[in-house]
Amino acid sequence: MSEFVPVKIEEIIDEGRDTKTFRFDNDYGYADKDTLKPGRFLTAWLPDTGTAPFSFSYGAEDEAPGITVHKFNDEDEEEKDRVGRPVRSFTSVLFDKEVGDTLHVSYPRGNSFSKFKQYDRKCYIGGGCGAPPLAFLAESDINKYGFDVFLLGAKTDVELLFEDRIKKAMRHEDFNNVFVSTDDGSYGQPGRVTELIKQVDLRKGATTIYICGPEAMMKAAADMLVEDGHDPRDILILMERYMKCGIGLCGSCDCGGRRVCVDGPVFAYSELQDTEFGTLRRERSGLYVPIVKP
Amino acid sequence: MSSNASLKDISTVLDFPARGVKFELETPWMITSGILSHPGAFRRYAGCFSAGIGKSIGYDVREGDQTPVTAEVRSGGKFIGLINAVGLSNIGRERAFEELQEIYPKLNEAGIYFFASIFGDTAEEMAAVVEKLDPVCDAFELNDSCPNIKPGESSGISIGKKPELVAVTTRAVRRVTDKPIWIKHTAAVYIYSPSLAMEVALAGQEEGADGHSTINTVPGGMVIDIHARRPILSRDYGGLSGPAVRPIAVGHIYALYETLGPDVPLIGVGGIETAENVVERVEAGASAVAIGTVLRNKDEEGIIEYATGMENDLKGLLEELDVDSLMELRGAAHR
Repeated sequence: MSEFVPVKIEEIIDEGRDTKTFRFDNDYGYADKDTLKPGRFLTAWLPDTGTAPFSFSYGAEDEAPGITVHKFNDEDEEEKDRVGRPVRSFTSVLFDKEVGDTLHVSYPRGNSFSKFKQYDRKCYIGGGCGAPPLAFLAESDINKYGFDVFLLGAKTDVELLFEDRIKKAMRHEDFNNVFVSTDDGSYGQPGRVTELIKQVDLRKGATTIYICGPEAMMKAAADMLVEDGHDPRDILILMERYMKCGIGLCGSCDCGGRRVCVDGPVFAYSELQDTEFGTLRRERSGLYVPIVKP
Repeated sequence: MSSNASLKDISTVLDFPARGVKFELETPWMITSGILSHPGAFRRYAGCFSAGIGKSIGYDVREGDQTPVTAEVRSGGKFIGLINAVGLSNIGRERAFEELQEIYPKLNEAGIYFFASIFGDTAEEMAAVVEKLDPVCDAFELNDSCPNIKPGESSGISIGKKPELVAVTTRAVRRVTDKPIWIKHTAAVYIYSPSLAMEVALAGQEEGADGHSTINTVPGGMVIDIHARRPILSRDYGGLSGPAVRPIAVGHIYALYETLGPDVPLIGVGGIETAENVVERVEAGASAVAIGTVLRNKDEEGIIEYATGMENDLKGLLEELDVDSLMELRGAAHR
């Protein structure tokens, strides 16, 4: 891991069920607008707990950088760390933090969307906790093209993230270009976000499609689009994997020989198509485990 | 690079006459153990490296340490080394065999040698891992030097610090494979007592080891985050690698060459970044080198660029040194 810098938490926003946004100062001047781009991530370190990577959900010029985090439940209470305390999940320890507390972070890390060739016309597909980095991306696109669309999905209405923010970023005077679905039908159109793909005209050719969400959903969406005639090089995927060293050495976050920490986390779908993407991931020991289908 | 330089021979051969095999490496560097752990990545870099040493595989699945597992060592802002304590995380011999069964033939096809690194708490465990992986690798590196073991464990450095344990484990492994075996050594023993380090190497040699590689990371390193007021590594201590350990690694290879002579293949590891570092290690006695830390923060393009640059630099350097091939320089620093 690279060096960590201390940042002060300036704001904590409750985003709904088990999800919070943490925004912090950038007094260290460690990241500026040229380096803190959508798609990049930070590694947060909680001493005595561990580290975890998070994509930026905020980071535009003159605003406080932020990450949006979904809390995972504590692991087995029976499990003890080496000084005998019960092992708690990284996110549950993070959720105890308050405004004014310090976070130790290493950022910005990874490539960004800007590494790839992109068209003026854009389509965003965000599922659950995958929506926040795409909201940041949509806000950063200052040359809005008339036919841009955002497909936003979540399991339920309380897990739907940043609808207002996305609508503001995508605003179009003449027609609605933000489509929302929930798996349980509690808000928007009932069904998965992939259902929206079938209904919305995404215009083949000269369109860049951005996908971020659970890996199985990303694969399902990308496969649908390819089958529909979209070029896999124009589908950009923001990936997440278990990371160990975070500096490209250990290979823990490997997917088809590419490392998410330094070769990613943004990949063109053409780079992932013939790999274990969406079907297998490696856990801490390096063992492959299946990715649960949506 | 001048046209003369392009004719320079930077290849090397790891020759194991007792096993009836020799490995011809187009470039003298390979990927060291623990780097790009899963051999799928080796295949991706087929054009950059002639060989890779796999992540150490043990008898059973092992989770290893919580993150952070690495911390950079800086001096005045400049990178001088890396400490790591990954804790021998690995997928165990059975699953490693399954994965390698698929990837090893493809590595072969791509012209990349794959050397399996193995560790174990006992001679029986080590032999069991070697027996299992024998069909899916070209040679074995015995990790008798990992410093990041838990109290009570008897693998890695616990073996490498005692000639009698190196003898017992090497003998057990030799019985179950006809492939070349080399022992990866720790700098800790060499620093503490160079003569003991030579006893360790000779003990392995007498029991059928065919070569040696050194150094593993130097134990006992710590980096403290002064803001967090905590050691960065979750295990607190870790092994040091990178430019900071280079002189120790050069010295250890020099001493091994002095003791074992030119017929025993030696793989130099530790702090190799530039063509000069490669030549220095070869002049000390290395037949090939392995790199790791220098690849940190390099994406795919960065790795390819690094490997290409090294090739050009090394050929240019041979011209400057007025030799036709790198291996003419092996052991040249010895009187």
